[in-house]
Amino acid sequence: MAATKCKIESGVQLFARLIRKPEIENFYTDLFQPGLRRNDVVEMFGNISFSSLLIDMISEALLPKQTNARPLGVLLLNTAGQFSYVELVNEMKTKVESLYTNEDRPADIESILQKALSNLFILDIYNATQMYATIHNLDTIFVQNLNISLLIVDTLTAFYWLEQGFKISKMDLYIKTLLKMIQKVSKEYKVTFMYTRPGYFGSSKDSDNLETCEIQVSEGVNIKIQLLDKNSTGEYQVNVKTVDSYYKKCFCTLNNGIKWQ
Amino acid sequence: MITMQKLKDLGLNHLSEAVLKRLTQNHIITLLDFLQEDEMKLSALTKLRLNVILSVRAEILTKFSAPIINGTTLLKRISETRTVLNTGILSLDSILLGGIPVGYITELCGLAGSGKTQLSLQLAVNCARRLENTILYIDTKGDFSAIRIQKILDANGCSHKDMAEIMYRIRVVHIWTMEDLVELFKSLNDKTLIINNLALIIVDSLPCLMMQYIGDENKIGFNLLNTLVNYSRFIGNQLNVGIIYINVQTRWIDNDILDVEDDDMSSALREPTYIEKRNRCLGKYWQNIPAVVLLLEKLEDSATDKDSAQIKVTVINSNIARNVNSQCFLNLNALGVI
Repeated sequence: MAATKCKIESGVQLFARLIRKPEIENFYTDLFQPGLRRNDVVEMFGNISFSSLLIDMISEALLPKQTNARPLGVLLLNTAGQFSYVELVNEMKTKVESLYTNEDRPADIESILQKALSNLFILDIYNATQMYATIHNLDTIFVQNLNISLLIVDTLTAFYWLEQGFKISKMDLYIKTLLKMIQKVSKEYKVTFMYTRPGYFGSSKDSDNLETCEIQVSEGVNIKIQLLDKNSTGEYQVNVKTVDSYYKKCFCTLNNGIKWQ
Repeated sequence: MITMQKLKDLGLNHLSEAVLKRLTQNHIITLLDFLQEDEMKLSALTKLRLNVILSVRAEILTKFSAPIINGTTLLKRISETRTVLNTGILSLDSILLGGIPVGYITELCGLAGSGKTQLSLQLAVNCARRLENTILYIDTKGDFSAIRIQKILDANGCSHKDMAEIMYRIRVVHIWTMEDLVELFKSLNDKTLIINNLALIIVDSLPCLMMQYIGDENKIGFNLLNTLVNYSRFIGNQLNVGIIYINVQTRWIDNDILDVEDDDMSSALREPTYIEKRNRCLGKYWQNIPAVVLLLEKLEDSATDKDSAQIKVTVINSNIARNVNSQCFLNLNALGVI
C-alpha cells in the first residue's frame, strides 16, 4: 500500500483556504480574455521593464473598474528593484480623482486612496536566503491576510547568479523548482500567481516564440505573456498564449498610465 | 563566491554542532535544504523533538523572511521621503521626471569620450552643493580629477571656503577589484561604514572591474555582480540614496544580412552592406538591472568654440515607460556640464 502523507492544519489555516475570495474572472479583461481563473499561473517575459504594465494591473486590482466588484488583495514580491511605487501611487491618485467631477469631488481623496492601498502588501527582497524564507512564509502571510487573491513576483529569477557555485543549474530547471515551491501554497490558498522573467532567461531558444510554443500545464504555467517595445514611440505589443489560444494586444503609455488599443 | 547561506552560519537556537553535523551528513546544509525537508524526518535525523524542529523553522522564517509592508505605510513613506535627487540641470531633471530616482539603480552609458565621467563629476558637484548632501564617488579607473571639480566650482564663482566644503562632501574611494567593491557595499549594507547624509553613490566605472571575469563562463563575475546589485538595492532603499553606475557602450561594424526577396542579383554580385552595431557592456544579466538607463552621445565639436561640446542624453530604458526615448542636450564647457 502506498504511503499517504497527511497534513495537519489549524482551524485558521483551514478557514483561510476555504474562505470565499473576490471574483478574479473580470479582472484586467483588457489583457486576459476571456478572463483569469483561480490557480492560473501567468508568466510575463521580455527585455523591457514590466513596471508600467504591473502598475496598471495592480491599480485595477485595488480600484476595480466595475462599480460593484470587490477589490483584489495583491501581494507583490519585489526582487528586481524595478517596480516604481511612486508611479503606482500617482496612477492610483489620478484614477481616484477621475471618478469624480469637480463638483462632487470628496474633500478627502487621500482616505479613498489609503483604503484602496490597504489591500496592497509588499515584500522587498534583497537576497536568495530572504527569498526562500519568504516563500516558505507565504502560508502564514496568506492566513494573516485573507483578502490576498493575486501574488506577483517581479522577477522570479533575480537571484539566479547568486545561487550558482562552480556547478551551474539550468535556467529552465531553476524556474521550474521555484514555480513548484510557490504553486504549492498559491494553489492551496486559491491565489492567482503571476511572475516576470527577463527575456534572455531560459535554456530553450524556442520557448520565446509564443506562436509555436506549446504550453504544458504540467510545468505549472498556463498563460504566457511576451512584452515587446513596438517601435520606440511609447507603443508596446503584448503577445498572449494560453493553453488553447494565441492573440496579440497593444497599448501605449500616457502621462496617467497606459491605454489599451 | 557567495551562494545560499549555510545553516552553520545562521546562529540558530537548538542547532548545536552535533545536530549540524548530523544534518550535514544527510545533505541538509543550507537554509533552503532545511526548509524543504519534512519536519518529522528532520526530527528523526537530528533526534530533536518535533516541537523543537518547528521552533527552529519558525526562528528561520522570523529572522530571514522579508517584512511585509502595507500599501498605507508605503503611501506615508512616499510622502515623507525624497523620491528623486535633482541633478541641478533642468533639462536632465525634466527627462528624468524630476531627477535621479532614489532607491533605484541608474546607468549612464556611452561610447568612450562621450562625456560620462564629465557628467558624473558634474552630478557629484551639483548634488554636493546642497548643504545636506554627501556623495560617495567610487573611482575604478584612477582618473578622478579634483582639479576638474575645482575648475568647475571656480568657473561658477564659488568662494574658496564654499569650494572646500563642497569638495569635502564628495568622498572619493579608489577601488580596483570587484571583490573590494562588493566589500565596500557590504560595509554600507551592514552599517560598519556610515557616511552621514549620503545622498548619491557614483561608480565610475563598472565594466573595467568586470573585464577580468570574461572567460570562465563569467560565473564568478555574475555572482559578484548579482551580490553587488542586491547590496545596491538595499542601500538605495534603506539609506534613501540614488546609485549611478557608469557603463561603456561598444560599437563595431557588421555585415548586414540582406533579404533576398525581390532581388534577382546573385549574392556574389551584390555589394556587401555594412552597418554599425552598438552594445551596452556587462552582458545580458545586467541589461535588465538598472531602473533607468541614460545613453550619452557626444555631438560634433563646435567649429566656432573649440572648448565646448554638446552631449545628447536619451532615456533608453526606464521603469516609468512614459519617459523612454525622452532626450535633452547638454553643453560641456569650462563651466562644466549645463
